[in-house]
Amino acid sequence: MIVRRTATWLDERFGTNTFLHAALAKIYPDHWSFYLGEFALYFFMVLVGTGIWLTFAFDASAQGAYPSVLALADRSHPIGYVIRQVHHWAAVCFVAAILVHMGRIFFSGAFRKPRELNWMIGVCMLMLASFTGFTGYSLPNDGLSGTGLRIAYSVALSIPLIGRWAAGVFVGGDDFPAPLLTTHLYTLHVYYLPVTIGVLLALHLFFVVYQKHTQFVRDPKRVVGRRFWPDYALRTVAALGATLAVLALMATFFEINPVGDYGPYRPWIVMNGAVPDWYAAFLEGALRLGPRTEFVIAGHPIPPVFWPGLVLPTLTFLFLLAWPFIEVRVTGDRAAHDVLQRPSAVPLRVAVGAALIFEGLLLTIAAGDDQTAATLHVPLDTLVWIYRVALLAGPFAVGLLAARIAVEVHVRTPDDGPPRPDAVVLVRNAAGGYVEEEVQAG
Amino acid sequence: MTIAFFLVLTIAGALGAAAAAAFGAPPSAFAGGIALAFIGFAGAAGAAASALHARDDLSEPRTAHGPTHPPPLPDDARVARPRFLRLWFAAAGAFAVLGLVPLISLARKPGRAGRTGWGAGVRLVDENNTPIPHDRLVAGGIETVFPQGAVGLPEAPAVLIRGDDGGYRAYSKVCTHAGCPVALYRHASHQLICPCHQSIFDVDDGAKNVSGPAPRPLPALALGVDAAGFLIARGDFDGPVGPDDWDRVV
Amino acid sequence: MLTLAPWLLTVVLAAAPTGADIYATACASCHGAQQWGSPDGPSLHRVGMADVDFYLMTGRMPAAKPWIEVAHRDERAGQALPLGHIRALEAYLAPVVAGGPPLPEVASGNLARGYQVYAVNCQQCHAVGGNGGSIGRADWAPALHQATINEVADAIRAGPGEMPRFGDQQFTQADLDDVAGYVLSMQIAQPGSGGPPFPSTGPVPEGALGYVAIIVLIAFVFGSWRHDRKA
Repeated sequence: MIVRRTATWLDERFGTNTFLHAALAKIYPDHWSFYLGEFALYFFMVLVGTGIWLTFAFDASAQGAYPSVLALADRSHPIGYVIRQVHHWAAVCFVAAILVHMGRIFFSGAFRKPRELNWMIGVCMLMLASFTGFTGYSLPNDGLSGTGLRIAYSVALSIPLIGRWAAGVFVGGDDFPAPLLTTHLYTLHVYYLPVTIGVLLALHLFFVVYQKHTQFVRDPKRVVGRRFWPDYALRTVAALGATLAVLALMATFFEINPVGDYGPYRPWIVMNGAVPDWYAAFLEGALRLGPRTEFVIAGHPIPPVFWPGLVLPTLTFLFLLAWPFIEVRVTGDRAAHDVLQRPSAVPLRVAVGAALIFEGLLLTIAAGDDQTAATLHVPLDTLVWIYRVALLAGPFAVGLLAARIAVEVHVRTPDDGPPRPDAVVLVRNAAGGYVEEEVQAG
Repeated sequence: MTIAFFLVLTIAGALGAAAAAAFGAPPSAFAGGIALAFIGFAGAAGAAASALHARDDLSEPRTAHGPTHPPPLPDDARVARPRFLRLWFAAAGAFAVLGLVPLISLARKPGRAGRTGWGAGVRLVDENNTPIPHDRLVAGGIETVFPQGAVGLPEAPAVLIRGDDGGYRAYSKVCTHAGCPVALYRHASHQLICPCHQSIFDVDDGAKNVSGPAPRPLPALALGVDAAGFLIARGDFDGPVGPDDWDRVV
Repeated sequence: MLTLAPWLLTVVLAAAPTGADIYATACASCHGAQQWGSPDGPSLHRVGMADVDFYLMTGRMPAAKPWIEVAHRDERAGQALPLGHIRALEAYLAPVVAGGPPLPEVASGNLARGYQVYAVNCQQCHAVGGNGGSIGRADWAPALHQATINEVADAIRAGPGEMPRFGDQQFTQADLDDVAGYVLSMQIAQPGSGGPPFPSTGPVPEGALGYVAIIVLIAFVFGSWRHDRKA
């Protein structure tokens, strides 16, 4: 009753009923893999919700940050404890969900024309989500995250020509740690970064609705799927519930980020096994494997952290961003596509995707190379060289193997047949009998 | 019936969590209640979705992407090539230049202080600003030291090592790779190791970077003993501290 | 009776091996008959009772497999002599090892101060929570979860293996008590713990659990509606 009256009230002022009617009746293609983006969205919503609560509990000054987070890590105050735990778990899961979702988009070819812009927005959001996570877990100014910040400062410093400018902006001062560092990280983390993600997210979702979702059903002219109300709405709400349930279960059983054990950050104190959160671990691995050569140009050094710490992630980001256009160049397929492909249909894409995943996994594992060396009784120097060789030769081997497998799988996959016809008509043939004819509308 | 079960679970979980929070139960009880509530909620919504037995092959036409071919604009909306077009662009360019001013003003070039606090005659102190007597360490010992009065300076920390021969050595504790404290000391192998990226420095050879990604040795601090028997520095580090940057011209 | 007593005494005493006997059977093959060492084991002269007590009490020595490098992760894998034998062996070796760090006295001290000492001097090798960690090459600074307070004090004073030595000018008795007490406290479960949430062991397992969560969600979505009617 209330709903109906509200709808009428709005309709009299904004003419919303037509829009609502269309929105509720809209068809959405359904496949289990289409929920991955939703999981990312729901993790983001949880981050914003728990994050807003946390802004009332956090002291964003350099001196006050650690004690205020220690108070939240106190188990005798369960509400703050659980909210902070859920917030950090959601961040870990958010980037993972984006990555898995991005993998689905990549391997099914959903980024092709007319959706290249949406792909680029998504890649940007992946980067922003990683930065938001990094600034977020650096806010407590604890021993573990402070070590990571020091390394990030060195990477910023290593940029040729503008290194000190970049580092100075990042850190808000002359040296590390600058007094304003925590405050700057705070405004980045609660304002600039999430607002940017929010705006991009709104665009991202708008494009999906406006251009209509892609589908596996091979009918290029029609969207085939479930109606939004009540069918798809209930399913998406169930996915939201599952997301929140999983986060709550994680917070119930597993502690994350025990800042009380890490102590406050001091520049002369470090702990063994200091690694960043998982989504930055590939950079840590790259820094460990990177060569030690310091190039000098006319007396100006380019520190070795520049290459693995900045050049590598920038090139990766640009490559991902440009992939829709690269693929068009290589395959020559400039047509618009609304129907998704089986991954095996494009071996090049499988090869490139597999190679990228291999490199990412290898660098992430390399972030723990000292522990691996000790566990396997292999000298660390040897292991580093093994990883380096694998880094350079691996993507080619993995890519070729993946392409080969894709080709073989594709050959053995029963064809779905031609696209569904728009109509089947009975036609009288010359002999007087009737014959079925499939008609594709022009 | 499944839906009813899940909804009851939802209510029990949510109210249980609220009660747990109100009565100060441990956080796992609070979080566990929330988990139950959402398990119930997800289950109820999922079961309701299944109970619809809705079709998944409904369809509607896809709108064409384009390109579209709209009719030309009406006559009064059309504009001939404007006069002074270049001046209009020049004005836009001038605004762009003006817009750069506030942006550039934010990025003040920092000095990268470069002050280590060490100098000739400066006493070595520990974290509590207590001077270090010459018999402080035993052979095979290591301690983190600072210049007296400058314990907080980021480029000041050093490691003081007493070798098996009884002699002292001191090196900067700031790794020349990415700035982590080089704190790991293998006293039998005479090696300092940075735990961040496993750079290894040979203590007997001027902290030369023998392995790992560090590009330069750790700068050394020459040591002496003052009249009162406390360890002092004989000067600053013999090289720049920590990782380099473009402006630290060699 | 009186004539039997010395005979009985000899039998009883002969049943317990002397320190020299234990040394000869368990140690001499690597450390040499006169404790000057061999290619398989270092000299024991002037190493200090703290060092000997550490190796014996933690069970690292006598080595279970001679000639095997003992700096591996599973270091407490020696023969682990019974306490009586250890004391006898120590008594036997006392004149040889004198000159190095003696057996330290220790009792649990101020935990807050101990945490400060641990953070600056121990954490870079033994990691947060005493979880242990790599020290380069293929070697490991051990976890401290099984250490007794005396073993901790022994190790601090003796600096066994690659571990540095902390003498009594650097760590006063109070410092030693504080940090040893802190190491012990890391082994004791905090009040209210022992049940969930289970403590974190670092960003690595945290990240892994994030992916487990994604897999669980995919399983939910994939599994929930598999039996829905397909057109």
